[in-house]
Amino acid sequence: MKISSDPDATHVYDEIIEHFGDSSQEGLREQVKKALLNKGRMLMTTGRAAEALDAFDAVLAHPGTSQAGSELGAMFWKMSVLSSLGREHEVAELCDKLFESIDPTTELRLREAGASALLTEASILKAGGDRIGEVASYDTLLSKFGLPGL
Amino acid sequence: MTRFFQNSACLDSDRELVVLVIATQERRVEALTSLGRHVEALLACDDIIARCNGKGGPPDPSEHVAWALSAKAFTFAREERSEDAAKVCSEIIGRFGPSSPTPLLERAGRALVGRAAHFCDLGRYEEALSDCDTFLATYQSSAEPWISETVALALLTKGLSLLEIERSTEATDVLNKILTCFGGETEPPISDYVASARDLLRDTESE
Repeated sequence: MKISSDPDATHVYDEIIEHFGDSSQEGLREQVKKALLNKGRMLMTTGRAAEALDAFDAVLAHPGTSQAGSELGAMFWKMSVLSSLGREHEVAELCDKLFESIDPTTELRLREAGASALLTEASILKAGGDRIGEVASYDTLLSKFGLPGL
Repeated sequence: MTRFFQNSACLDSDRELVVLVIATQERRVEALTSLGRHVEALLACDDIIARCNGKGGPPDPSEHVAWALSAKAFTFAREERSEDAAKVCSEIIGRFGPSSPTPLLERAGRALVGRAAHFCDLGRYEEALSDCDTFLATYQSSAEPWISETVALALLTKGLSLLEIERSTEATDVLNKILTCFGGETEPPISDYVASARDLLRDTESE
């Protein structure tokens, strides 16, 4: 999904969040999460990292009853912001959480995002001199995708 | 690192997933090699080659195959399995050559000089000389950045091989050529090759 960088789009997201943020209906809550996720991504692309993190945290603060793409997306994009801020330790922690949330039924786009997250974790371990941990990250990634020959 | 996030944002097909898996295996090979886990590294290289040769492989299989074969040759060399390393170099040379695009051309050129070094280790000096001469005749005029260090290595391997078969005068000429062409280099690996050439010349003069 393309995210609009138009500042007016924020108002639309804010309106959805304001009107339906307290709803107990699962369908509406999911729409609120999507609005928060899109708002976070828009804030991220315009360099407003702290506000973007708040938006992603708001998505993660109320987990849904099903494994929702918006929560995985929030984890993924939060990692991206944390990485850009040099908060590598938090990235690694979030990466583990994200990858645990992914299973073979997760849509391809999000599985790939999870794989990329693990590559990021591996890079962090490599930079810290932990080559054994780095290999373990690769092994996890490859086994999670059910790849033969490992 | 942010690159991974950017990349993943546009991943949308099984083929791109294969690309991601191959990239993972390549990184894994590097890490395993650094840990001395050579058997696992070799298996991972074979896995990359199999994925590239299979249906639904990456869009640029040749580059990944060339990378995996080069990594295999390097790993065999680290294990002092010169015969196996030479065989893999032969495979690279057979698949890619002087008419290949730059990344593959480099793999083929380096494999040629690598095979010469492995032949030298195996005492097959005539074959080593042949590979060095082929490389120098084919690649020396190229302006690619990787050429200089490979030329220096080819000259060193040629000089060493000539010494081993007691063609000392020719060996001296070749080793002196290294000093003439690269004597001012201060960066490894070329500076290491220059130092080796100096040592060999000193030993030859003292005999």
